[in-house]
Amino acid sequence: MSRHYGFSGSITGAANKTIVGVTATSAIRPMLKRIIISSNAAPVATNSSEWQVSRFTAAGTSTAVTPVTFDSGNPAATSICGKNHSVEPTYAGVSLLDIAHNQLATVQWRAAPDEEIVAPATAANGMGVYCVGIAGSGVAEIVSLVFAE
Amino acid sequence: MMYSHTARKAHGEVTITGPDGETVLDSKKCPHCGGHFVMVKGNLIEGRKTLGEVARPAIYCQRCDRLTCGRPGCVECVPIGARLDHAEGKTTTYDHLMP
Repeated sequence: MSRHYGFSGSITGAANKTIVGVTATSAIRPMLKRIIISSNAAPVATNSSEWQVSRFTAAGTSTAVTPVTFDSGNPAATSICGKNHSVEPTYAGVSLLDIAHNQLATVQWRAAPDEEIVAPATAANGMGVYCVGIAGSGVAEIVSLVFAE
Repeated sequence: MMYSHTARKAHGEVTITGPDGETVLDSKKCPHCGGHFVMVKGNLIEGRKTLGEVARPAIYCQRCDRLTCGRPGCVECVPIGARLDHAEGKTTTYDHLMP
């Protein structure tokens, strides 16, 4: 049975800005199970933004995050997690999930069992959640995700 | 809550919670790229409105027995498992179809 981990990141939404990323190792294939996109900006306005999930072949530079395990009996995650990228990952291929988010709303996506978004077990490869663009002004956005390995 | 079954067998679910309530939509997983897409009624996939895309038809893959996302790169049958194996440097029977 796969082990579940979770973490979150926060940025001011801007075009082509990655908020969180999960990088595989040669030992495991990380599987994306759930994403929650929300905003804690105030005052509330009708700004909107578009978010995508894509696989990358180079992880870029980010703030390291230690994901929380859902079962305290499990070991620490093998995947390498990061948030608020200062150097963007090198995305390859098509977007795997495309979500439009209005600041007034919270959007949650979850995969059915065995239908997760998967990245190859190759070093520096993985998946990132990034803002494609915004309409209105950039606001504080929070992305939480759950992955399994 | 408004629940809108938009796929016969959903592979995922999108929940949008806003000031006007909650909307739940089904998503399907493309057997070729492994991405999820939201179905709209009539076997259509919702387009990216920011790019001016309109809904496009989902294309059925007989070999995978599943609907694909219909993107040009997913028209030819190369299952996601083979793509991941190829990225990991393993040999697959689909290698001649991948760069």
